[in-house]
Amino acid sequence: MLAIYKRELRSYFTNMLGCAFSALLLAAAGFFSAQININSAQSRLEYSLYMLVHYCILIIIVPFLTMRSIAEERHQKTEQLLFSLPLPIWKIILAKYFAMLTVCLIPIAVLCFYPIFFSFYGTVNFVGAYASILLLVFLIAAIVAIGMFVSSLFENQIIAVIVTIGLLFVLYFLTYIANSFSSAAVTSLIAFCCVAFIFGIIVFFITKNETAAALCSGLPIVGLIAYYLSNKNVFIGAFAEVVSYLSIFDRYKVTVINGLFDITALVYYITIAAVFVFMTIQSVEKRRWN
Amino acid sequence: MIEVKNLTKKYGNILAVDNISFTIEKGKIYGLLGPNGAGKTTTMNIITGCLAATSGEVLINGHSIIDEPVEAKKYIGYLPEQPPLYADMTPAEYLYFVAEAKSVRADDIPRAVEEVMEETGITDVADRLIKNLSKGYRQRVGIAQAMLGTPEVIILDEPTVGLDPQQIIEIRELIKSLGRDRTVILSSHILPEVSAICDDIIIISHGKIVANGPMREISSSLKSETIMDISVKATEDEVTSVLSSISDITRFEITDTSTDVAGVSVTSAKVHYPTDIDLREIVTFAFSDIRRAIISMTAEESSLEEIFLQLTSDKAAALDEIADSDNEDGEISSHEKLFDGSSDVKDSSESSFATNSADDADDESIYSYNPEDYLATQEKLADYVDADEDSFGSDNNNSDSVNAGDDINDDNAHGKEI
Repeated sequence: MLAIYKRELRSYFTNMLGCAFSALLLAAAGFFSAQININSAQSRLEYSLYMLVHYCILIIIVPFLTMRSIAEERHQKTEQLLFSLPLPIWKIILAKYFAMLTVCLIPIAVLCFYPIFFSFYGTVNFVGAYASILLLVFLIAAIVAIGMFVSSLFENQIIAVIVTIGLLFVLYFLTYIANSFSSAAVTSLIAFCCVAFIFGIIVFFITKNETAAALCSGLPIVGLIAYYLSNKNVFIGAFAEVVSYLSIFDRYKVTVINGLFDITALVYYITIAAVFVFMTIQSVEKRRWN
Repeated sequence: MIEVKNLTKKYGNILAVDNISFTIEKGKIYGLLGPNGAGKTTTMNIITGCLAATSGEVLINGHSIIDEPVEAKKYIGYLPEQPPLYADMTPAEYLYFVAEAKSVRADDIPRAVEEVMEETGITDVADRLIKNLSKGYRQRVGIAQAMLGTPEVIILDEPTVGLDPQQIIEIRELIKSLGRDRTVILSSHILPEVSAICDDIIIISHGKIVANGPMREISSSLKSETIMDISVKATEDEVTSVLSSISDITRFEITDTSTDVAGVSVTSAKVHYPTDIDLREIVTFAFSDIRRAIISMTAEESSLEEIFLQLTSDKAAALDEIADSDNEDGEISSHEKLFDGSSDVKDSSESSFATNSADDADDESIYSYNPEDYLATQEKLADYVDADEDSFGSDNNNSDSVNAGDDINDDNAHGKEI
């Protein structure tokens, strides 16, 4: 497992992807920090970090890091080497995941020096600064897991990066989209049914099994309609609420801007990361069964 | 060593491997042979755990590849059809990585990598990027990768595809040397290759095993006929009459007539005869009796292509294929008519004769050469005799390497050149 981790890490720095990623992230963070912390003499690093999310910097650059993780192995046929190694698949995927995470941690480690530098010239809220850096790490961990999962679905890394960015944009704007619908109960029901339907399509794409897909979207839709008929009031504004609750980016905003460290946000990111890593393992495992 | 039991693999509705079972024993080189799409790669992928079977079982040293994949994979080194190489690494780095991933002890890794690099002959390119290496070297790096971790079985999927003839010979030598202390399974759709390297062959067609056993047994059990190509400095009619007079020849056909630089006509023929006799001697004396020089004689050990075609497709289809692809062999079909005794024999097959229709042959064997020409060429021939004998000898040597080549046509081309 360590061998794969080392090889992955190395490859990110031999093909410049890791360097470019670190440079871009640091450049963006540095720019926001210069604008907010220096030019506006605002001591809170949290705001500059939030700008990385707010201006979609993470959404755009992280997928470029994750796009090749699995897709490239498939394209180069090197996955057959990995499959024939005396290693379980989950170890291979975890090694790859942690290698990507390590690449992300390098620029973030540099960010850790910012509060110290600022403290020479004024008062810095260290707890707030480091808590937001910590949360940023876990947010990135969740995004990397999503990107790796998408990469495992495609052989072409360009398609993988486009789909990942698209997916993250949808997640990012989901709250806006959800809020733009009327809060009527029927709208919520339709929205939930659409989600169930999309879930069914995804299941079909992964399993190529019509029955499983029909069950995965059919059962929730039937359940939703039944629940709706029994209790309409629950559905009023429910979709927007659920979406807002589930939005990974909103949680970062709330925690950072309000200055409240929300431990559930941390747990939520870890859960997202775990779910998508697990789905990646399944998706790769499934390739052997098709 | 490896037991494959009732292995079946379906891709959707397509049956790629159909209930096959075989056993691989220690210390032999096995050839998995079959036409393209027969299920060779699928079988190998399943044995190595790269693919899951629809049903059936693979046991490697008693460990099931499905239930105990990690344990089972320790005994196997696999080179897939396309070598799984990371282009942005050097062979040394790559092999170091594979050794680590195969849990070779850290202290042993440098030595193990050094060893496989030496054995596969890639030490010279150890520090060049893999993407800059030639196909042959990449294949070697792939084989080196499979050898790491001292697996007991090395599985190679079409190891010589896409290589030039020199590289093919080198890779074959490498595989033979691997087979000395390890079990090797290789797949190929090239029959002479398998017959040159392997001890045992397993022939797969349409996902089923059609033959399985030692090379010799398979060839002798199926067909005991040898084909020999000969070229003689003589006219077509002379060759025809001499060959017709030899009773050991089952059948023959004239494949080519031409005139050489000196204006002497050269006739090539393909002769079929039972494997248990040495026809070379008989033919040599027969032609020396009429003072005609044999300039090349290339025997194929046995007509493996025919066995292969017999096994992998029904015979009729196989014969059609030969007729389509190959003019010379096309005459086989007209020739078979001759065996049937059909009435148009004399008109259609002037160049084809069978010994058992000797009467027909006699009717037509009226030589129409000019005696003066004959005397003139005879003098020249006398000068050539020594040289011809030499070339005869060297041809025999060549025939081995040519047999290892790709198909009958190569052999012919070779004969003609000389």
